[in-house]
Amino acid sequence: MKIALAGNPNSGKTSLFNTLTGEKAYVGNWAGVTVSKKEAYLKDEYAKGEKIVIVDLPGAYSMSPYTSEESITRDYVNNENPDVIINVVDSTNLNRSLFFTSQLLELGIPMVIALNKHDLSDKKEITIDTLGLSEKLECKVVTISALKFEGIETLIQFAKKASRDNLVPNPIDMNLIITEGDKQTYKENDIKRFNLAKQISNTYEKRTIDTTLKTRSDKIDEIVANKVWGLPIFAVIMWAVYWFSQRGLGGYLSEYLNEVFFGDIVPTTAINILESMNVSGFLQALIVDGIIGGVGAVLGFLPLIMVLFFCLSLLEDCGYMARVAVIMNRYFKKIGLSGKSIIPMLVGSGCAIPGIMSTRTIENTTARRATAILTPFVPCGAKLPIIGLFAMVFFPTSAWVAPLTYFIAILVIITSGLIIKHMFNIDNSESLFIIELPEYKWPSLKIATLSMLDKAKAFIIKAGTIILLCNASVWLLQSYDFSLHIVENADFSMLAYLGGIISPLFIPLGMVGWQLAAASITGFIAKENVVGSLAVMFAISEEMLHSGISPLLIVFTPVTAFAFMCFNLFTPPCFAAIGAMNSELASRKVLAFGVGFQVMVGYTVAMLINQIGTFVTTGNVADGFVASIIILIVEVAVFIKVSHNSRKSAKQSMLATA
Amino acid sequence: MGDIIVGTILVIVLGLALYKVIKDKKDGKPCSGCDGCSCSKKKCE
Amino acid sequence: MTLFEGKANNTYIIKEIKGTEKIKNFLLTLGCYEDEDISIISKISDNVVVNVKNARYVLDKEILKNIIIYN
Repeated sequence: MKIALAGNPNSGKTSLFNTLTGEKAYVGNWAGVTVSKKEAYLKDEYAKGEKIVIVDLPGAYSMSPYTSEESITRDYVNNENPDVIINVVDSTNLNRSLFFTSQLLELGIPMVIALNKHDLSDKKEITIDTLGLSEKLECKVVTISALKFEGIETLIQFAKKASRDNLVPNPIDMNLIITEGDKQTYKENDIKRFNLAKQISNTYEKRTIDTTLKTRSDKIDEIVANKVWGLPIFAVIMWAVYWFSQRGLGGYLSEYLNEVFFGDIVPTTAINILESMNVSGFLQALIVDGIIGGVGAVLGFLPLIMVLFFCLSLLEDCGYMARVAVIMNRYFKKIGLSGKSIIPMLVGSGCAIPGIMSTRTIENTTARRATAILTPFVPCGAKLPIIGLFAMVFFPTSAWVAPLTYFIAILVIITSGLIIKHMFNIDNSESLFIIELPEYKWPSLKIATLSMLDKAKAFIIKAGTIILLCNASVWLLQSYDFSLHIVENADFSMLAYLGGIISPLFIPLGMVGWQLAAASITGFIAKENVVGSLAVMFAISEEMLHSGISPLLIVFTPVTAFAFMCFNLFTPPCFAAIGAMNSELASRKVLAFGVGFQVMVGYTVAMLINQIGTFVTTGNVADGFVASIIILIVEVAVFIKVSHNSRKSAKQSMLATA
Repeated sequence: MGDIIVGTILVIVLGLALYKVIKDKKDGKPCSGCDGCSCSKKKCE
Repeated sequence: MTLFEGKANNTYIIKEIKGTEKIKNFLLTLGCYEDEDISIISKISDNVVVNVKNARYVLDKEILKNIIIYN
């Protein structure tokens, strides 16, 4: 049996989906979170032996032919033939919800209505005559609360019954079904449909509280989304989140893991075991320096990432995100983006992939694509080990380095946004900005904890697979030359040769030697690999990568360290994220531009930091100074040329049409 | 002797890791252990 | 008079929706059309929090100027 969940955005479909299936599908408290269908099996406690598939469809307000959302639900129903539809309705919003409900009733499929969030509607003193409504609509109406697990069994029982007995409801008003006509006809029809919905909700719903009165959420918004205070409050909140994960609890635990556990206990134990088994020096080195060193260096940052995801989940769950979009709209419009662009970026601070995918909620194509290209600039969870490592080694006493990287990321995003805006002559003043404001709610600690543990598990698996393989490969590649002989000096190894091919390009960035080039390349497979690779290439058992006598201190100055860090932070993210960009941008041309642009940004930022920083701190000009100047001149020239062409041409930019 | 035991274990571990990576790619996951991360698609293309 | 000129804590009636097809279509799906009530809850920045059919939305300046209301 296949049960489809359909309903307005924010009605709680995804929460219901999670409750029914035990999946931990992402529930963000803003409209447009679910972007395509999700499927999973109904939990056995509800399915009772039957094999039932639950499908969570993206939220839609309407299936009218002229709207952009009409196709998703209708296509699904036409192509997949669900046996029964559960229409999830936000019981605090019956009036608007019934519009879509009436359209669903015309599909000719058995249906059950779930009046969700009944705890909220009770609080708002809304009473709905479910029996009367059920009679009128000719389908069962069940009061539920997905989050509180109430009414779920009843709902499923009715759904099963509706499917088995093929209880197809009749359309409420046959006159509303029109198969042909122009846009005007459809619109007038919709107005009739709205009036019908209003009529029904007036009959079966009783409200004592006027919704036009200010609620507590509204009063909070007066401060939080305020013209003057909104942005500073947001800045403080984000600073607190990142501080707490990097220096606070997260940082503290990470330090322990890095220094004591992976720095001392594990390698020492391993060496003892291996020695006692008479394992050869080569194999010992591979295991201790290569694998434990590399993977350990990355795993040590696990607490950091866990705390970050916990905080982000709380933030997303309470409903604050929609307000953030409102606050940022003013500023983002100036750089050619939408206020909604901030959400992918916030999500991206956890992982760029869901961030990029959530750009779908931005209607304007240009803004959506620009956001997808800019989102990876936000330091994601995978980049945290890089920030953490360099902060630890080069700036151990400064608490500002970690937050500073986010601040730089913001600058990079703003500047890049402006560059893109001018290169393609984007004019966003006409763009729509409407966003629904859900009520604030206390974020669920349970969801946050689950999200954190989920991410921890994913991280550990990633470390045990991709990162493990990468580190082992790096170790092997730096131990052998092309004739597969073991080399005494890694400078003659395969890795050195491969790294050496592109290391000249890195001279203006202050990166010396093949190792750094090689480390950066492994970063494209997974950003954490940069840390792992550095550990493998530089650390010898006793000299820990993160210690005060770290071998990194020989290779970098604080300036070049910062430059290297920024290079890895702002170049294109891992291949998986590029894959996400590919599917969201839906254009090879734009993807090529996006990736190329990211490469140039990362390169240029590192170059500027190195050149300017070295000059400022030492008074000397850094290596590759002349090359940097030339590169800068070329970049500026290209920018001017392309912007000029865009301005002259009346055509729409590539970002909109390609 | 120690070499052979440890070496074999190593090969098995690395082999399993490689197997999982390839399997995850085939299942459409963006990165190993991702489990769809927070993305809503079952198959992240 | 447009909704942009409306005052907080007031309920108005929509006279006409102007603007591009996209705006009109989307507003329609939310229940914003002629003769419907629309209330302004509060004004924050250049945006306004409105109440339409019991739900809260934030509309920005461009959209507000396209919603004509009765005086």
